[in-house]
Amino acid sequence: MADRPPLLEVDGLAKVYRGARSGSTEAIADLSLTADRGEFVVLVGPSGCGKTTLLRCLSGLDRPSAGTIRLAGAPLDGPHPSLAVVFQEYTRSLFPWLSVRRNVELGLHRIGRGERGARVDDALGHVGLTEFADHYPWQLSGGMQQRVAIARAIAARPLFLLMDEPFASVDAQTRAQLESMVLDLWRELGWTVVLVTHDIDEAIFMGDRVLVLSRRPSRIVRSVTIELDRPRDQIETHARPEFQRYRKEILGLIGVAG
Amino acid sequence: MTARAGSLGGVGAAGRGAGIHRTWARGLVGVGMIAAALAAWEVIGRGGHVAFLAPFSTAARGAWQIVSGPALASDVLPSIARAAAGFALGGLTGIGAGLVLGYFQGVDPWLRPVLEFLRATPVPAVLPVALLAFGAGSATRVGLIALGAFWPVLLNAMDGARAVDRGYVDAARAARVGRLAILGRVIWPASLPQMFAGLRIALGVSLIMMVISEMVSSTSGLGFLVLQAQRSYAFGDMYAGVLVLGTVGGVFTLLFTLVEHRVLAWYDGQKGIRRG
Repeated sequence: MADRPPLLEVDGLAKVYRGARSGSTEAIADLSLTADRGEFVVLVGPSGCGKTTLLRCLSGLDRPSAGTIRLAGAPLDGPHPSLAVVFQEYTRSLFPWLSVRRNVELGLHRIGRGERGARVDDALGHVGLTEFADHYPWQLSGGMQQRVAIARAIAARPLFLLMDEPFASVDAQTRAQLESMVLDLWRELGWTVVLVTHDIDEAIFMGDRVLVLSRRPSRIVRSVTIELDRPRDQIETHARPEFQRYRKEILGLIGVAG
Repeated sequence: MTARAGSLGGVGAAGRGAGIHRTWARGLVGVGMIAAALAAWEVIGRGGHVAFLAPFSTAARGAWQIVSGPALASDVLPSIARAAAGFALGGLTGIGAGLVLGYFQGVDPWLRPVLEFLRATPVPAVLPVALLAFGAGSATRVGLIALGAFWPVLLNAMDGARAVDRGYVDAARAARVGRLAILGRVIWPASLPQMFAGLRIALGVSLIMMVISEMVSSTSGLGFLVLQAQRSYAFGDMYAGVLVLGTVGGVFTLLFTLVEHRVLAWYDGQKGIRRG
C-alpha cells in the first residue's frame, strides 16, 4: 500500500483564460497537490480565487494551460470513468425534463438495463430518496435536489469524487445534514474526495487535510492536516478546542493570502 | 396546531373553489363574447347598410355546405393536407437545422450571412418564381408553406440550442456523455420550450401561406374558393370560405396547444405556468 502512488497528483498546474477583449486572466499559477487513496481533501480560499477553475481542470472539463494532472498514475485527458462530480448549483446540473431516476442514471448509458436499475435503486437508497424516484427534481426541496445530484455520483461508482461548493445553495440546517451524510458515504464507499468550499468551518469539519488557496492567480499557501477524531459530529467536533485552533490558523492564512 | 392545519386546509379549499369558479366564468365570458360578435355580424349583415356584407346565418349555411358537400374532398381536405404537410416539413427541417447550427457554433460564421439574407426575403415573393420553376402543383405549394414555416422554427431552435445552460452540458460531459449524444439528450430537450414558440409562429405562417398559395394560379383549395366566390359576386360563399378557414385555424391551434401542453409539462411544472 505504501508504495502505491497517490490517487490524484497535480503538478505545476496553470490555467490562463484568453478573453475576447480584455486580454488574458491568469486563474491558477503553478499549483501542485496530491490526494491519497481514501483521503478527504478540502480546498478553501477567498471568493474569486480560481477554485472553480481548478475543479473544472481536475474534472477534465477544462484543459490546463500548463502542468499535469494524473489520476491513478495515468494522465487525465478528459472526463474519466472513475471520477464523478457534484456541482454547486443543482438546478443547473439536474435536468428538469427527467425524473429523479432518469437523472441519477445519466452516466450509466454504457451499462445494461438491469444493472442500471439496481445501481439507481442502491444510490437513491443511500441518500434516502427511494420513494421519490418518479418525481421531477423541481418538485423537491433544494436539499433533496442536491441529494439527487449526490445519488448520481454514487451510481457512477467512482474512485474519486469532486465536489464544488456542494452545500452553498441550501439552508444551514440542511447543510449540516448533507455534510454528515457525505462523510458517512465517504467512509462507507471508500471514495477519495476533493471538496472545494469558501466555508472554513465546513473545511475543518470534513477534511483530513485543508489546502489553503491564495487569491488569483491561485497557489496553495499551506496544507493543514486536521487531526480531529472520526466519526465527526456536528455538535461535538465543532465544540472542540482544536477546532477553534484550526479555524484561527486557516483564517490567518487566508488573511495573509489576501 | 390542529386549528392551524384546519385553517390552512380551509384556505386551500377556498382557493381551489375560486379557481374553478374563475375558469367557469372565463369560459362563459368567452362564449358570450363570440356570440355577441356573431349577433352583431348578423344584425349589421341583415341591415344591408354595409356593401357586400352577408349576414352570419348566410355565411354559416354556406360554410356547412362547403364542409358537407363535394367541396370537402375537393377543397377543404386538400388545403388542410397541404398546410399540415408544409408545417411538418418546415418544422422538422427547421428543428434539425436549428439544433445543429445552434450547437456546433463553428458553422455559424459561414452560414449566418446567407441565412440572414434568405430570411429577409418574404416567402410570398418567391411564390410566382416557384410556380414557374416547379409548376402549379400541390408539391410546389407544400414547399412554399414549408419554407414559410421553416424560418421561425430555425431561428428559435438555433437560439434555444445556443442558450442551453452550460451547467447541463457540463453535467453531461462529466458523466461522459458523448458530444453527439449531448445534442439528443441535453440540447434537444432543453430547447423544446423555445422550439415550441417557433412552431407556434410557424403554424400561423403555414395557414397564411396555404391561403396565399391557393390564390395564385390555382383550381382548388379554400383560398381558391374564397377568391372564386368574390370574383363571381357570391358574397355569401366568400364569407362562408372565410368562416371555414377561421375554424380550421382554430382547430389547428387547439391541437397544437394540446400537444405543447403534453410535451412541455415538465417546463410548465418547473416554472409554475398554468396554460389555459
